[in-house]
Amino acid sequence: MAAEDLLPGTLDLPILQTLSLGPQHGLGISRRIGQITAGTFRVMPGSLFPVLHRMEEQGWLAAEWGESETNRKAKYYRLTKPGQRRLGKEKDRWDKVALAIRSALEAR
Amino acid sequence: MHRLRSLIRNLFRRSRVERDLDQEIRTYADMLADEKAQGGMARPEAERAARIELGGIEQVKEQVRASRAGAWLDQLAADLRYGLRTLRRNPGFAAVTIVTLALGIGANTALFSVVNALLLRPLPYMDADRLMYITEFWPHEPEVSGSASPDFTNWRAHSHLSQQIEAYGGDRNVTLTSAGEAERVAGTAVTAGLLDMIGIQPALGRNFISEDDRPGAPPAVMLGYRLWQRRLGASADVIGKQIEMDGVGRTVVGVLPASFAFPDNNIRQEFLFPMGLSLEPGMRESDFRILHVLARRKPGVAPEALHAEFVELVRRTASEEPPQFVTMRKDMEIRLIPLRQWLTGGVSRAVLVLQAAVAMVLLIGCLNVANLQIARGIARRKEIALRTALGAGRARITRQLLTEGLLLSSVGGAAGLALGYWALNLLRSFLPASLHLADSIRIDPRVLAFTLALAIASGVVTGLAPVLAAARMRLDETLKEGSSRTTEPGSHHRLHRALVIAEVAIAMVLLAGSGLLVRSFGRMASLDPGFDAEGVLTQRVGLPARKYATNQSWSAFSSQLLERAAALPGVQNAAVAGGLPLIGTRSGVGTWFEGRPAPPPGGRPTIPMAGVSSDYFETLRIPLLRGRTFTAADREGSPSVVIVNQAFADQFFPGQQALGKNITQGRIGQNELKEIVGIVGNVRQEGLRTAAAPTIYAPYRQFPESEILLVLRSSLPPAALSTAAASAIRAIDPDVPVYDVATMLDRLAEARSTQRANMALMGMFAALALLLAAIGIFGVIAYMVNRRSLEIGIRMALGAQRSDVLKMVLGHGMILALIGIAIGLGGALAATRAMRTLLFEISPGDPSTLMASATLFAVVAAAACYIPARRAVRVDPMTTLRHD
Repeated sequence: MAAEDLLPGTLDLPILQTLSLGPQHGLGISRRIGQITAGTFRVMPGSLFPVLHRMEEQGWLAAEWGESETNRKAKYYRLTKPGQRRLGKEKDRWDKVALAIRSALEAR
Repeated sequence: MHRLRSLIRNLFRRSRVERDLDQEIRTYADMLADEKAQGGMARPEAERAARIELGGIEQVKEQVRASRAGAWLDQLAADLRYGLRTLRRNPGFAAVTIVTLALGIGANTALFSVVNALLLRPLPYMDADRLMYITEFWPHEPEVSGSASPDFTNWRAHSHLSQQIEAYGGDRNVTLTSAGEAERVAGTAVTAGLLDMIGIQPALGRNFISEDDRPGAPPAVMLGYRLWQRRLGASADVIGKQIEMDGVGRTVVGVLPASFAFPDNNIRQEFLFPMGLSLEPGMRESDFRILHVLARRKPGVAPEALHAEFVELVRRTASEEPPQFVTMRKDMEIRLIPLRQWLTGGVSRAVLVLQAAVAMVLLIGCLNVANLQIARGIARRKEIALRTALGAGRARITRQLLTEGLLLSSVGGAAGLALGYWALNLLRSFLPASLHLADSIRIDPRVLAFTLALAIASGVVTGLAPVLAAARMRLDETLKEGSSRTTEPGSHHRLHRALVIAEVAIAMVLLAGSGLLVRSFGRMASLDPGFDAEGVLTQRVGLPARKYATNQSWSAFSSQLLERAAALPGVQNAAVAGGLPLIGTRSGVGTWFEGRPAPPPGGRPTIPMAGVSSDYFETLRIPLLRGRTFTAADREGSPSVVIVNQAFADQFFPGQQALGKNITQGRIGQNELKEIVGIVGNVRQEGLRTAAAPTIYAPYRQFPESEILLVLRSSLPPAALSTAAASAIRAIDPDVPVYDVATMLDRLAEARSTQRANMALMGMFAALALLLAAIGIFGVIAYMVNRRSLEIGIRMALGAQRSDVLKMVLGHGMILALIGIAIGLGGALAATRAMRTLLFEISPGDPSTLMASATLFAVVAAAACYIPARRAVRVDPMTTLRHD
C-alpha cells in the first residue's frame, strides 16, 4: 500500500516514531518505515519530503547535514522536544481511533 | 513561531533553501542507486531505476515547495514574474488588452461616480429619505408644479402623518444697492422652519425663527455664502446689520453655509427671506399664492398614506372656499415626489441608460480579450503541457493563467481609474447646469471599490477563458502534435464563435440606441423653432421696484431704452419684450371671449402673455400671418389690442376667423375688451420639447412689465454689441442692472444641450462598442485564416479560385456577424423602450433607424472580415504545403 492511500496526515506518526529511535536521512526513514510495517507502507519521496519539510517548519524535527554510511552528504532529521511531545499526542490519538474502530468492528 | 521563522527564511534566503532541497533530493536518488547497485545491478541501470522510482526530481521539489510556509506568496511572485515575461513577449496583445480594459473600466468609473452622486450617496439633507416634494397639478398640465397656499396651511394645521411641512417659493429679484455698484440678485421666500427641517445649520448667525416670518414682521434676510463673500467681504459683524434691497433695509440674521444647495434645482438663489405668509389655515383670497411644499413623513408612514391624507384634507376644506377656486381646482390632483426623485428626475433615466451602455462596452471588451486569450491559450498549449510535465498541477496552471488575467486587468483598471478621473469633468459638462447634485460628483471610496471590483471581475473573465480552453486539452496529444496547424477540437471554435456573436449582439443594441438618439437630435436640430436666431442678442433688464413703482414709469423706461438701442450703430432691429422664445413669458392672464357664455368661476384659461414693442416680430423674424403688427399708436389710452399666435387661433377659434374678435381679461364683469389685430406664427415658447401653446402679445405700453428683455438684431459681434447696449442703459439710469446676456443662438444651443449630450455620450459608447466588436470579428477570422492556411493551400492547389476562398472566409465571418446582429436587433427592440423619455419625436422601435444601424454594422463587419480574407487568398499554396 502506498502511503498516499492512507488517511491524510497518517504519515506523521510512522516518521515521528522512526526518528524517535535516532537521527535518520530521507531514504533511511523510508526504508525503516517499510521494515517496521513489514512492507505495508511504501513511502514515496513525493509524499515523504513535503511531510518532512512541513514538520521541520513546525519545529517537530531539526535537520543537519551529515555523512551517510555510503559516504554521501545527506540531510539527517532528528526529533526535537516539541516533536517528542507531538509523538506522544499522536500515539494517544491513534490508540483511541484504533480502539474505537476495533470495537466498532467487533460490535454484535 | 517556527512557521514564521521558516516563512522568513523561505522568503529571504531562497537560494540557500533551494540549494539544500536540490542537494537533499539528489542524495536520495544517489543513495537509492547505491542500494540498487549493491543489489547487483549495473551502475547506469541502477541510476535509471532510481530515477523511475523517485518519480522525477523536479516534481518532488515542486511538491515540497508547495508544502512550505508562504508557498502561495512564493507562487504568486513566480506567477507574476512569469506573467510579466509572457506579456513582454507579446507587447501587442498586452497593449490591446490594457487599452480595451482601461477604456471600459474608465467609462464605467466615470459614469458610476455620476450614478453614485445622483442616486446612491445620501442627499445633503437630514433624513432625506423621508422628505417629499408635494405638488398639485391638473391632468392636462402635468409639468406645472406647485401647491396652493391655502392647501399648504391646511395640511400644516391638520396632517397627522407628517412630522413637519414647510414651503418655499415666490422668487424675488432685487436690486442690491448697499456696498458697491447696483446689482441684481435673486432670492427666494421660505417659511421659517424650512432650513431646520432639512437640517441646515447657518455658517454664521441663526436660521429664521417664526417671529421673522409673521406677516408684517421687520424684514430679515439670510445671505448666501457667495453673496456674503462677494458683497460683504466675508465680514463676521454683518449679523444684525441692515442691507438695502430694492430700497428696503433688511436685517441680516444669518449666513448660509458654503456647501448649501437649495433642495430644488430651479433655485440657485443668493439669499433667502421669510415668506411672511399667514399660517392660519383657511382661504383668504389676498393671501393666495403658489408655493413649493416639502413635507417630512413620520417614521413608518408610507408615501401612499400621506398622499391619501392630503387628498382628504383638500376635499374637506373645499366647502369653505370661494366658488371660483372650487371650480378652478375641481380636477386638481396631488402628487408626492420623493426628494431624491425631485432633485434628479430629469436626468436619472439618462444616467442609468448610459451606465447600462458603458457596462455593455466593458462586457464587449472583456469578451474580446477573452477571445484573444483563448486564441493565445491554444497557441500556448505546448508551453502549458510542458509546465504540466514539469510538475505543475492543474490548480497551479489555473492560478498562473488567472494571475496573468488579473495582472492585465489591474494595469487596465489603474489606467481606467485615471481615465475616469479625467472624464469626470467632461461628463459634468454634459449634465444640465441646473443640477445641484452635479457639484458633488467625485471619485469617493464607493466608486473606488466599484472600480476595483470591475478590475477583478474583468481579470477573472479574461483569465478564466484560457483556463477553460486549457482544461479541454490532453497532455500527451499536445506534446506529440507535430504541426501547430492541425484542426483543433471543435469546442474551441464553438466557444470562440459564441463569444463573437455575443459581442456583436451587445454592440448592436448600443448602436441601435445611439442611432435613435442621433435621429432625435437630428429632428430637434432641424426643428423650425418659429424664429430666426441668427444675429440676435438678448439681455435682461430689471427695474428696481422702489424707483420704478408705476406702470407709467415702466413704459417710459422701455420707450427710452428702445430709442437709444435702435440708435446704436449696426443695430438693424431693436425690441423690448416681457418674454422670449425658449424661456417663456413672465405673465399668464385669465382670458375669455366676447359674446360667449360666461365661464364658471375660475374656469377661464390662463394664457401666457407678453408685452412687446412694435418691432418684436420683425427682430425675431416671427412671421405675421394675418392682420397687422403693433404701431406707436398702440399706447396708453388708445383702444386695447392684442396679437395672438396661430395656436391660439386654432384652439379658441377653430374654423373661424380670429382676426377682429375681442377677448376679455381682468376682473370678471369688468369686461376689458381687447381686439385681436394680428395673428403671428407659432414659436417654441417653453423650450424646444414643448409644442407651441396659445400665446398672447400686447403692446408694451398697454401691458408694461418691470422685468424686460432687450432684443437686438445686428451684424455686430455680440460682445461689442452687449457692451454698447449696457452703456446705453447705464446712460438712462445707472441703478438699473443688466443680466443674463446671451445670443439667441446660445439659448438655442442650451435648449438642445441635453439632447446633444445624450447623443454624444451614447454615440461615443456605441462607436467604442462597434470598434471592439469589429476587432473581435477581425480577430476570430484572422485566427481562423491562420489556422486553416494549410487547408486553404490544399484547396487552392486543387484548383479553387481566389474568389471561392474569399467567399468562404467572408461568408464564415458574416454568418457570425449576421446572427449577432439579428439577436442584437431583438434585444434592441426590448432595451430601447427604456429610452423612450430620452427620445424626441421618434419611437423607440423606429424601423428605419434600426435598419440603418444594422446596415452600418453589417458593413463594418464585412470590412473586418475582408482584411484577413484578403490575406487568405494571397496564400501561396506551395509555401503553405512545404511549411511542415
